[in-house]
Amino acid sequence: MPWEELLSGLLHFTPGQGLMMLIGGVLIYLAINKGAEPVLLLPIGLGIILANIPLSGMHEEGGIFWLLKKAGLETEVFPLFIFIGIGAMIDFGSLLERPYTVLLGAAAQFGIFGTMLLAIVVGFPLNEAAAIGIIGSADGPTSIYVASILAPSRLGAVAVAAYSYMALVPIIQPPIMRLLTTKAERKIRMPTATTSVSRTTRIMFPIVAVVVTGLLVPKATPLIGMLMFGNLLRESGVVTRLAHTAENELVNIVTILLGITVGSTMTAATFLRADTILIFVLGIVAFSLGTATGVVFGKVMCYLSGRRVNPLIGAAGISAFPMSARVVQKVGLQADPHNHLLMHAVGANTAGQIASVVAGGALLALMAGIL
Amino acid sequence: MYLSLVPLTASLQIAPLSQDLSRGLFVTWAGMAVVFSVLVVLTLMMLALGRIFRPGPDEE
Repeated sequence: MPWEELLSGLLHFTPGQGLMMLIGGVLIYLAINKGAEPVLLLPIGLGIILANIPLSGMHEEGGIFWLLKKAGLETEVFPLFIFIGIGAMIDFGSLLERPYTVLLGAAAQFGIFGTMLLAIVVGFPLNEAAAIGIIGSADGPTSIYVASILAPSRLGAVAVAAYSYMALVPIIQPPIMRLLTTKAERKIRMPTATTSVSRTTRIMFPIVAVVVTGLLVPKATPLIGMLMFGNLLRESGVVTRLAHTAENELVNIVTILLGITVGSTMTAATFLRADTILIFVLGIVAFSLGTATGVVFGKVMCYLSGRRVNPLIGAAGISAFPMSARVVQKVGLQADPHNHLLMHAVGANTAGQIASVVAGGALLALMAGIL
Repeated sequence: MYLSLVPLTASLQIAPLSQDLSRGLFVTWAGMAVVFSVLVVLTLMMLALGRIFRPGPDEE
């Protein structure tokens, strides 16, 4: 009957698809009304709605979502392009002035591995557990990159969890920071950096970081390579137009495509599973665990340095740039209104960015050897 | 009083770790070791770069 053809969308519409559209609508609401990571959650939200319209043909071979997934996610090109833009945005000056803060970034990566163990304990297979653990990197592109390789079917849930919790960093982190530190520790004032960083050092750093990381963890080379390529564009000072394009036009275009493509992977069949809720629970555990291990390592540094390091800055080691550094500044100011920890926290925060990339590469290398 | 150690130790025996969990534990310690090693090397490189390429008078 011709009218059956006309109404085929409605006839094939399932309650699950309706629920997914509702989830997409909630993400759009959060993005617009609550300002929660709107740059990603808005395209993801609409992607979910589009992906759950039956018989649209968008997922079929030749369809727009098939094409974007094939070209951008399966090749890992989208997250890598975003890394060029992030590199062009990041100023590693605070880190170079305080190299010791790198260790705080390393410590906070335990959130990834600890959550992976928990995910295994609750019954996820190893590859999916590792993809869930990477939420703890608090780094969207790294999460998408690693999850798309290790567990493509979990990509949507991992990406949404990663970006949602990044928006919730100001709510998740402060209670953990207060719980693990005394008021006296939160009041510790840190000396301002007395050394400035030369332009040559700023230019050499991305090159050295690529070579060192690439040789030690080859699987991290695509991520660290693109991140540092963007940073070299910025620091060289001779390609201002390219640096500007990387941190604006490139990142904006790819974010649009990445968001809607990630959303398009969240069909009712792949997303509406009981264990998706577990992924979201484990995601918040990942952020909390990373924050906790960063702060605890900060306490160790505080003790070893003779109370010259405020342990709060360890919380910024989880990446989530630059929100977690701002959270550290805020919690520090609550303990002492004249204690400014921002620049120290930014050092740990940029270290967290590098550490999360290294952790992602290490995870991929180790999993490739095991699976 | 006689206390048999056999049932005691049997009751304390921990169930063998699942293959995934034992692999996960390996990935955890190896992964953290890799992350710390790479970042310690990077720290040393940063310190070296700072020493070698000191800021000029116009950069102070």
